[in-house]
Amino acid sequence: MPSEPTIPNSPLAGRRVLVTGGTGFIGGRVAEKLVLEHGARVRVLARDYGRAVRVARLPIELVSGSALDEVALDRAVDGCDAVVHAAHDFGDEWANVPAARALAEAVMRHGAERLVYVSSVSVHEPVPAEGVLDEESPTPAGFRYAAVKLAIEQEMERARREQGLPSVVVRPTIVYGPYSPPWTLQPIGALRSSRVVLPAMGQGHSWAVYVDDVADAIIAALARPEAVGERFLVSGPDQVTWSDFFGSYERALGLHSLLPMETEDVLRAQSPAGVVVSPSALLRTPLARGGIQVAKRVVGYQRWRGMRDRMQPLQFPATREQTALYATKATVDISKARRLLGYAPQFDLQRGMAITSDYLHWSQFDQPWA
Amino acid sequence: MTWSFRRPRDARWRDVRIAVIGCGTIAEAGHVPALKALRLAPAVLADRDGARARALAAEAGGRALAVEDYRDHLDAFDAAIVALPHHLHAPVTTDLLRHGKHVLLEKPMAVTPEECEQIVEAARASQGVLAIGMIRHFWQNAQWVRDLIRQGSLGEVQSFDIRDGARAISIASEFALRPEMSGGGVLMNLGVHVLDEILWWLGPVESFEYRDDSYGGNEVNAELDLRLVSGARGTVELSFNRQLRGTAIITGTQGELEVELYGHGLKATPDSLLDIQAGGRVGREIPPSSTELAPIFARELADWLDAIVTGGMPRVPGDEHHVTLARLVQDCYANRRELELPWMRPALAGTQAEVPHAV
Repeated sequence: MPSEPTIPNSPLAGRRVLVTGGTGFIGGRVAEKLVLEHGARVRVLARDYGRAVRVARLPIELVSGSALDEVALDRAVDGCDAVVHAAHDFGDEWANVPAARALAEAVMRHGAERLVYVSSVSVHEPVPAEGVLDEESPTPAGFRYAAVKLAIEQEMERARREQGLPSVVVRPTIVYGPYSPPWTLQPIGALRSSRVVLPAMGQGHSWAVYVDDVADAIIAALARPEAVGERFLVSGPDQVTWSDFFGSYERALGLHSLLPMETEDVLRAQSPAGVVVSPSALLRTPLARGGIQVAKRVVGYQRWRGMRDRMQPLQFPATREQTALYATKATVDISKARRLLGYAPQFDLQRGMAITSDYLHWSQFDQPWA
Repeated sequence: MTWSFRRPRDARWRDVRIAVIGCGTIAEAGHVPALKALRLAPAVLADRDGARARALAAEAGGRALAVEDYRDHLDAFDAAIVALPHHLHAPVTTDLLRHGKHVLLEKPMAVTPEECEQIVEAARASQGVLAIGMIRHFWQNAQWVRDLIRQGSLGEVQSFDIRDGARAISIASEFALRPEMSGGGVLMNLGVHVLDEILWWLGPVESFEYRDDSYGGNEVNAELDLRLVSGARGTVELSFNRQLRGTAIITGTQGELEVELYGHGLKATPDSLLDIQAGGRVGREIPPSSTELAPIFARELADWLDAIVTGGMPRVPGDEHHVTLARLVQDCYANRRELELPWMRPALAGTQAEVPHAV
């Protein structure tokens, strides 16, 4: 007789959960964990099937449509017990706000029991230079992405207050790990093609958090009754610097691309475009290439590599908000998430980056064709 | 025959009225541009989604009928390019062949060996010419490599290493993500090309080990360790979300070849291997690579049309080779092991969750 499937001891076992943004980085990992660890039945809203291949490795239900399409959202919520809203459309960003409102209405209309909105620490940007950041800290939301995220949080809060929406807001900090566009793929792209300038001599606090810890917090927010109506900052278990963070990528890929600088020098040098091309980049012109071949032979490949690394274009933080993020000495207080969500982050930087390094090698980002 | 994409179009082809059945990504990116390249216009474009058929009809030019079901328009075409979800390959192709239509069927021939046998049988009983869309048979480097190995110039082949993967793929409909429609993921798609190439270049497979990253849906990454009847051993790596090397490295007792999978690129050690003539070509003289799909699809299309008008055989006929290929793919899925991905381990550790397994 075949053995009975073992249902995991999770309140989400057998429950149907819609994940918007399930084809993306955080939503994709939430979907994986919901299926594999919690035995949930997961539905994913997908507007681009090509992006859905990763999550479609799992026995999930795909619903076609955009997270900006109110009809698709309504169809996707129908029959779900809970919703994770992790989608964010970077095209027409302000359109995310009415779409989130429509999603909240669909949740109430269809009687779903929970809506977890995946916001961002960005609502606190520009972040304070020091002190402690917690859920009650100011939310200046100083640029469009942050302002949109904050506006959606406010929509959720209004619907909760006025209509009883069972919503929870999770604000992850610097989420890295396999498939992370902002904090893994883009950084390694920058490290491979330029010298990455770190303000505060790289000693700013990075607030790095491995994606699995964030996914666990989101899933706890789905399941825990005491989470409703609350906002949670979710960050990693250890205090690390941006040098530690980017240095992990350098070591993983054998690069030497970091350039620590004093913050005031960074602010002085920052151009509106964010990227300053060093004069030595002129050596990349076709005329100079012949000379470079000779130089390689004269000084030897290893020394040449060191010289070449120093000649890369400089990549400054793109904005003043980002400079503040790289320079902050503030710490993030995750005690509320620990208390109400039972959040217990499992991945310090060393462990999270060890796994991420495996992913980078497996993805062949250390190879010229990748 | 060596095809030049630029040579004048053959007037006899114009008497063949062509339908494109299935207007998804491959029809849009490959077959319709190929028809245009040969200055041919399809007679019928069929897709369950009428809007897609109409959009592609506008793209194709001419006076193509855009329809939802080809069966209502059997009188309007003589030959059909079938680019449908895999589970429809067998019923649609056997139906077309029974009606005496010529068929260029996108790979894989079908999902199961049994379905492939039905198609092969239907082709035998039909006047129609059946060709299978194994596009890589039309790259000149791939042809040269086959001929070089066959004539013994690489010596005894000892090993091979084939890596085929792209960071992103384009999918027009959800069929490719649904096991019941596609029959599988990256192995059923890219893998069929690679396994076909191995059988074509190096001969039959004796044994294998297969791993993929499916948890009940379609796999995105797959790895194969193969041992061939010839004694050669090799590795295949496939991905729908990683940029892999995109070449086949074949090592024989007389040297090593590296063959670009999407283009005409060739490298050899010793370099002098490229000066050897095989199948009427010299490796070094094969024109430089192009990443464009239309010219290569045009070669495939022209080969099929030539077979239709001359009564000859297409370069890749719909024969038992594809039954063997389908059986190999089926055996891989049946003997699947989990491809261990370090970042999946934390998710699986400490849970008693029953992990559903592959298609």
